Amino acid sequence: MRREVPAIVLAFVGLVMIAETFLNIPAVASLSRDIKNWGIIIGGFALALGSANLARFHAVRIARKNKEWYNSVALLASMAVFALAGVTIGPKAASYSFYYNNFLAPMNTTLQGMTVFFVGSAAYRAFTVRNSEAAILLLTALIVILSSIPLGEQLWSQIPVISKWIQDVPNLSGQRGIIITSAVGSMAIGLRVLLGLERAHFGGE
Amino acid sequence: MTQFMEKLQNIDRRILFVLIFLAMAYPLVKPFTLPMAITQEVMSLYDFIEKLGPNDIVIVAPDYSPAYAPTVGGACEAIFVHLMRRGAKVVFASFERDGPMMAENVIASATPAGKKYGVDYVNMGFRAGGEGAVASALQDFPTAFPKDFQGTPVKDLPIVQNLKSAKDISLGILFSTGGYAGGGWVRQLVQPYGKPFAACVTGMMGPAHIPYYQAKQLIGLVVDMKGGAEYETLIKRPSGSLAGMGAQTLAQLLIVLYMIIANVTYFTLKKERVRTR
Repeated sequence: MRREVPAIVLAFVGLVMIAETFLNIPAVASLSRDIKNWGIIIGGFALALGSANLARFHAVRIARKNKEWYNSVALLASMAVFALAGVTIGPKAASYSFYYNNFLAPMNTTLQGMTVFFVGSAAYRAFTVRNSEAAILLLTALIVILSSIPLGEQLWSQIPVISKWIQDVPNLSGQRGIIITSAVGSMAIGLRVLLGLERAHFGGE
Repeated sequence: MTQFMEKLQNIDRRILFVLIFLAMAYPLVKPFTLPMAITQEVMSLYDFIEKLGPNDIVIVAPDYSPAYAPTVGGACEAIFVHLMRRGAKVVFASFERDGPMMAENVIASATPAGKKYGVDYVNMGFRAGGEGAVASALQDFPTAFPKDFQGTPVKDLPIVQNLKSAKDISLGILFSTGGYAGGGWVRQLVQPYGKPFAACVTGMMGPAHIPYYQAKQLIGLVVDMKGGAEYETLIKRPSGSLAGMGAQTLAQLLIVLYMIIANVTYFTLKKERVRTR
């Protein structure tokens, strides 16, 4: 029953969604709308579950005094402060906005900003032309990088034209192949899930 | 020469970091702007918004985090200002957890004088569930968002009184840095409802959205900070994106220089090794 009931629920929900797309039956449309609304509630529970798992993981790290366990203390403390603030005073309060805009946002932006240094270092160390494919990749990268800055078109007026050709011809062909392939793959996986053949998410093989 | 090339190839990476830092810091001291051409993808979104008016409702989904605010946040501000100038009604509805705060920041910094919250624009907050939440909101908006970010019920918000589903909107705009992104909104908005949709994404995601633009499933595509800078140029409101282009220009040039130097040293040393064998 542990696997059969979820499989039946999955199949039913999937069939309702497919029927709503292809058939114009008011009862099916109404049921589909309700199911989609339930999805938002389940999404909220998934967030809560994720937070609970994170808290449990870091609590274990603190209890066992693992390496750099104090970082876990900082994480749990920040999580608790923000959660309490959001629930008690609300995200519209001035103090919440202050903490968000002056602590969380700058730290978030700083972490993202640090990647440029590593990208620069990687470009210097690893982006060498060792074969013809690497040469094509390097030339393409140089043209696309130069087209992403205003100076590129000042250096040579054809850079934006060549970059547009790269985006509209080889890139477009490759991306279309990826989109179609992933869509076909999604359909296959979806069919397997609907028929109960895919059991990994039930804890099976 | 060989020794110099070897030193150059094995240069301490801290020197590389310092040069990148200087390249990005210089425009803060001596700001500069360069003329730039407007791409067709940005121009088509601008032309579409130019035709909107007070009877048009636009759903804007600011699904980005503070880390990407410099990348797509400038475009969000510019497009919001343009929509306000046209008199269109803007409904911020987020499907990423940081979206409501990003919307608040855009509203705080870019709302033109004379515009009223709840009448001309509103921040409806965040709904979890990814593409499923998008599908639900576009099918039954009041049920998905019964209150706004401030907790005001929809019945007290004039702007969303006539917004029951995606059939009532004139345009959907997504600001995204990952996840289901443009493809998800094409599946949930364009294909079922036939409504226009535009996306503003990072540079890495731009190429993946070109097929949707070419297939006319996207009416506009704003990519990265440069796309935001183009839009600011079009609406004649220089702001964060145009200001950031100086730093981006110098940093990108430096990375191009690094690639060239790396290959010059590599080939010089390779030739030297073959010669001495």
